[in-house]
Amino acid sequence: MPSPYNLDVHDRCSDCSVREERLFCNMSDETMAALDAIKFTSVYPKGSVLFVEGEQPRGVFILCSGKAKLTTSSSEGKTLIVKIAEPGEVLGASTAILGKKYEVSAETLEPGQVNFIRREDFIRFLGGQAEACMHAVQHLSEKYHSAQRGIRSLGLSQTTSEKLARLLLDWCAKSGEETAGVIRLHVLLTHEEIAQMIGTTRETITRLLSDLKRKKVIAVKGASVFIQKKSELEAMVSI
Amino acid sequence: MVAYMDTALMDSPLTLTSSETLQHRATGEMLFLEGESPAGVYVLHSGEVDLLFGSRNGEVKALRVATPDQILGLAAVVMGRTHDCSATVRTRCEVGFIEREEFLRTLESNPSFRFNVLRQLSSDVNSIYDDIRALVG
Repeated sequence: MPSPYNLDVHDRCSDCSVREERLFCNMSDETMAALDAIKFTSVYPKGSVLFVEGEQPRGVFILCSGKAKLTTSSSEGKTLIVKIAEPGEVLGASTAILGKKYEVSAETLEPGQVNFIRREDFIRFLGGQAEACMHAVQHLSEKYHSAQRGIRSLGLSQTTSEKLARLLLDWCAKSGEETAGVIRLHVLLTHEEIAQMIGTTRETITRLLSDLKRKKVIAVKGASVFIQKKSELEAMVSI
Repeated sequence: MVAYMDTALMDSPLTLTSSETLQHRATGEMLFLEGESPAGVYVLHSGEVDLLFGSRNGEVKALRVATPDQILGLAAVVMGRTHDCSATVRTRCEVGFIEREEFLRTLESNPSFRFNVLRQLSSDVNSIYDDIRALVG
């Protein structure tokens, strides 16, 4: 029977073929069996809201496949995308551990498998499985480091064009595919969402991307952005 | 037994270890520099510490002010990475320094310590979201 959205769904974490590539999930068979006993597997379509900022934490969501955007709202009501979560990330872990309200909202950007663990089960799992707790420590350290990088980028950039250049360079480093000096990026975000990543307006993003296209720094075809002159983007960044 | 341990872990205070070396630091002193390999973590007991970022062109910006009970350099020590910001004493403070190897050894061997570190990191991650909201306004 075909799986929803033709996804490769792993019902058991212990049988997952990609778990060794994941910071949190790369654990022993025994620990993964304990995880299997408490997790609920679901497949979500694009645009599914996993949790909302301000809600009491119900549990954590392990993003097994697909991506999700994490957003927060400023005091002035602006929406900001704080992160695009990648497969393998554990969403809501910090709030579940602290028992505080979710600090961000999480919404899927593409269809994907998500494993849910109830908060009480997650805490018991971390308390009873030393390996899981260590992996959670490493996972949160990585999350903190990556969030610091985001803040640095936002806080030290002088101009919006510099912020956009930094964002494109970050994407190049993370997931760019280089062929003959041109780097291809697969961008799932709309101009509005790119604006929300760097705290500006959709109109500004549209204008800045047009400028970059006109100068042949980038080219855009559908959801693909081709970075043709990476050095020009680097020259725009002062960080 | 399991239920008791869970409650104990969740309710325990954010204390770390007896292997801290207490230090008194004066205003303006540097605890660590951005880009430096971490020698250990600093538990801030009193006073305030500025966390700062520097850009390539020499500009320095304040990220936030660390206050008592915060642990500085935690993520860098856990990940074995260089510090991603500098820490400078803002007001005279007392810090407990835990050397990196000792910290990692205790993290591996002491469940209560490990869970406290996990809670501190959770708190650090959440505080970053406040910083982001403040930056965007």
